[in-house]
This record gives sequence, structure tokens and C-alpha cells, in this order.
Amino acid sequence: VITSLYRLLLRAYPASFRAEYEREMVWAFEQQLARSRTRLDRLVLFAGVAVDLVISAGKERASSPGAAMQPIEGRVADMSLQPVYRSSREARLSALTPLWAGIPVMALIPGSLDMLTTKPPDIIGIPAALVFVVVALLWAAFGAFVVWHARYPVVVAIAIAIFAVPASLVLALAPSFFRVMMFVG
Amino acid sequence: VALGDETLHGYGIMLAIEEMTGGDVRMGPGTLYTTIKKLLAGGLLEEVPDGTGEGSDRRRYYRSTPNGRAFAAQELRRFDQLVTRGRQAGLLVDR
Repeated sequence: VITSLYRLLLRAYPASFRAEYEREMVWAFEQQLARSRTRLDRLVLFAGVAVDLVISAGKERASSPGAAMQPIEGRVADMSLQPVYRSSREARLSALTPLWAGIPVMALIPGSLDMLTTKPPDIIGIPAALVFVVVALLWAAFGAFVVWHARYPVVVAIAIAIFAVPASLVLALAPSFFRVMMFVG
Repeated sequence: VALGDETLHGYGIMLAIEEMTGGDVRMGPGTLYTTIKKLLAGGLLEEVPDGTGEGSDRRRYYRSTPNGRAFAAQELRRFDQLVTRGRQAGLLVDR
């Protein structure tokens, strides 16, 4: 079971590396396992080997040909066993999240917008509203940049959660800000 | 350094490192094989045919190239100088 799990973890390495060294690595791991006397020894061995694998696979992916943004990927891959995020088409679709998520949300929240606009206009003045929207746009753009260059699904998910979703909400509320601005004007 | 003039397979290198460091350093297969790949690419290590014929599809044998041995010697001299200077500065006390 442990060997099968180890084979599964080896998928964290680039395919070219696996093709070259997988059989040797499994053999070396089996030799190490054979030296372990107790079940606890095997578990400790597996834990150590798994950590070693995650770190070395991250470095290997970061240094493999075609890897973009190497320093960031190295760090990210250390935390992730997810396969490489290969589809640039998916990445581009995800990068547009602020737009495709923001527009439906904008349509769904008119009631919320009304609630917001019933607040005294001086709560959100014109400069504050403008700054808020500009910051949201910049935030969304940065999120799109991160997603565009991400190679791992986990990075895409985190970037969408941190950048795209809040930015979408702010953009969805943008009409309300402008309504406030017009009201103030 | 663990290889010296020997020809070893990957697991043999792991054991040699463990023995050389008195068990302090236990290298996992991940670190070992990514390092082997780099050393092969850098011309410091070379693969040699398996003479035993036993398990040859699952293990390969490696040895240092002349360049690899020269590089190891250069690194060891550098460490040696560092240790000497550390001792002269009173930073290293013999136990």
C-alpha cells in the first residue's frame, strides 16, 4: 500500500523526470522500506520521503524547461501536489473571472444596490467611491495576472478567492457608487 | 564525495551518504535523483553499465567523472581553508 501511495505521489514530478527516474526511485524506496523493521518505522520513513518528494518535485518543476515565473512556482509547488495547470485556455477564462462573475452578480443584486443607495450619500463620497472602484479594478487586474501565469489549480483557486471574487463584488456594486455620485452631484 | 572512486547505484549512494555522516544525513529518493540529474547534466557524474545484470531494469550505476572528482576536490579544499580560518579565529574549539 505504501509503495502504491509513493508511486501516486511521484506524479508530482514532471513526466520527463518520471520517465527517466521513476523505476529507480520506487526501487530505492522499496529498499528503504525493507530496512524498516516496524510499522511505525515505515510510517516515519514514508512521512520523511513524502516531504522530501514534495520539496524536490517543486524544485524540479520550477527548473523544468518551459516553466515560467520560476521563483514563484518553486514556492508554490513546494506546497502543492496538484498536477501542472497546463491549459492556457482555462487560465485565460479564469483570468476573466471578474468580468464573467461580476456581470451576473451585478444583475442579481439590484435590491442590495437599492439598500446601499438608501444610505446617506456622504457615507460614500465621490472621491471615496472612485478610489474604491479604481482599487477594485487594479485588484482584479492583479488577480487576472496571477491566474494567467498560474500553473497549478490550487493557485488559480486561491487567486480567484483572494482577487477575483472581492473584485467582482465591488464591480457589481459599482453602479450603486455611481448612482450615489450622481445623487451627490 | 560519497561516491569517491566507487561506482554505485542510487540506493548505494544513499547508504554511502548515511554511513559517511554517521546517520545524520538520510537523503530521500527525491533529493537524490534530482541531484543525480543535475550532476549528470553538469558532466560531474556519469552513468556506467550495470555489470551484475541483476535488477538492471530498475537501477542504474553512477560514478564521478574526472571533472566531478576535480570539482569535489576543489570544494573540499575550500571547506578545509574555511575550517582552518575558523580555528585560527578561535571559533572552532577541538573537543
